[in-house]
Amino acid sequence: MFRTILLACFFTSPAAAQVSFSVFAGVRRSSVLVHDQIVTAFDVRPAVAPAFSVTAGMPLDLPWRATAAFDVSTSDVRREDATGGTQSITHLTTAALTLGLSRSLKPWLTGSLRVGALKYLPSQNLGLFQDGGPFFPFAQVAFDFAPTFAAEHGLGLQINADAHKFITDALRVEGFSESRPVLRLAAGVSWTPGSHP
Amino acid sequence: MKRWLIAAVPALVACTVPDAPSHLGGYPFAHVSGGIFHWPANRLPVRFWADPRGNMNALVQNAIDVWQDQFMYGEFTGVLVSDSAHADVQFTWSDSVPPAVAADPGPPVKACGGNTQPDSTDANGQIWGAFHSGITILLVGATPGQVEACVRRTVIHEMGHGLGILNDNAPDSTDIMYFTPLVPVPSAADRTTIQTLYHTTPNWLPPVR
Repeated sequence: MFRTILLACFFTSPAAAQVSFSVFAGVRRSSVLVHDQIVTAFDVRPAVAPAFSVTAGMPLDLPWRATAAFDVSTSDVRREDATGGTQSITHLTTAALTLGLSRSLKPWLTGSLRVGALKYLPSQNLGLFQDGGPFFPFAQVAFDFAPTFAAEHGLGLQINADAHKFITDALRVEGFSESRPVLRLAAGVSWTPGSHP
Repeated sequence: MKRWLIAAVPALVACTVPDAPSHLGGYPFAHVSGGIFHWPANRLPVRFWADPRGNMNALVQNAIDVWQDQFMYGEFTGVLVSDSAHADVQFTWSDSVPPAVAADPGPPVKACGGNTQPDSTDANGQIWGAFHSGITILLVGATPGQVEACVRRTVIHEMGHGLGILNDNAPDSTDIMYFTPLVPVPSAADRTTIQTLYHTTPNWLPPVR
């Protein structure tokens, strides 16, 4: 009941009229999750993954906007041997919720800074994910490029990069004592419906 | 600005230094002839068939789960199949079938035995046919619970042979691959050994399917 009232208040308020939504579709590359050596050295990392996000933005005092975003990407997580061979470990989806601020840096460029929580969702509780998928705090920076010809259609190019520290309970049991910094880079197209004149 | 950079660069480098564990403490896994075997990535999941009598199905599934948990990086996965003709490893009761009861948690009693071997191997290091693991119940006056505990750990032990630990050289009675398994789960040495095996180049080829 309380939630219904809250939603009703929100959608009938002046603020709701100013909320804009944008969607993003692109590809994401991740740095190494684990580096280990058993006889020979190898790395574990997610394959290049399709990435999608939905962002809601609300204007604050100019030039700032508050944003909330839901981001998801999905691919195999693989062992990459020094010999060049790869072996899939399991399928992995990552989902993230962020809150942040964005502002226009140039007429054609918007920058955003976001913080939130990132959840690893392996398809099987197996190997380094045998105790399930962990949560990590993470930070993300994003840049949206919208040249005039694309902005007319609400389109833009987005590059975003995020960072978190990765470890799992199974890796701790295995003898890893510290989490590993992981950087992820995504690039793709964003679309803001109704933003064009 | 310069001072910030001087502080930040070593911190960033320290953050990215790998902290891989040592993975030491395993024991020899090769066959007495020098043969080294493990299931290659293109043969995963390894297909196991369990004798439909008694609770062999549950015992084999438990052993698959136990061995899968020893691996961190997708080196081994196993699956139960219903057709013995399409299995890589077959588990059977060699003679009598014990009742399915709760395993006795007390001290281990050698109430059973096991044996694992492929149909044959040739001089070129080619394995032929499926691995066959047989479980035998010994007449030692053990309780059904002690027998169940014995077959549970023996199925794990025999599966260890089917995965490529081709000897009984585990030196410690706390290892599941000790010649007479006395513990319910693999030890740290078993874990290190099977991990090392699956990152070692084999000289025996898997059976042709």
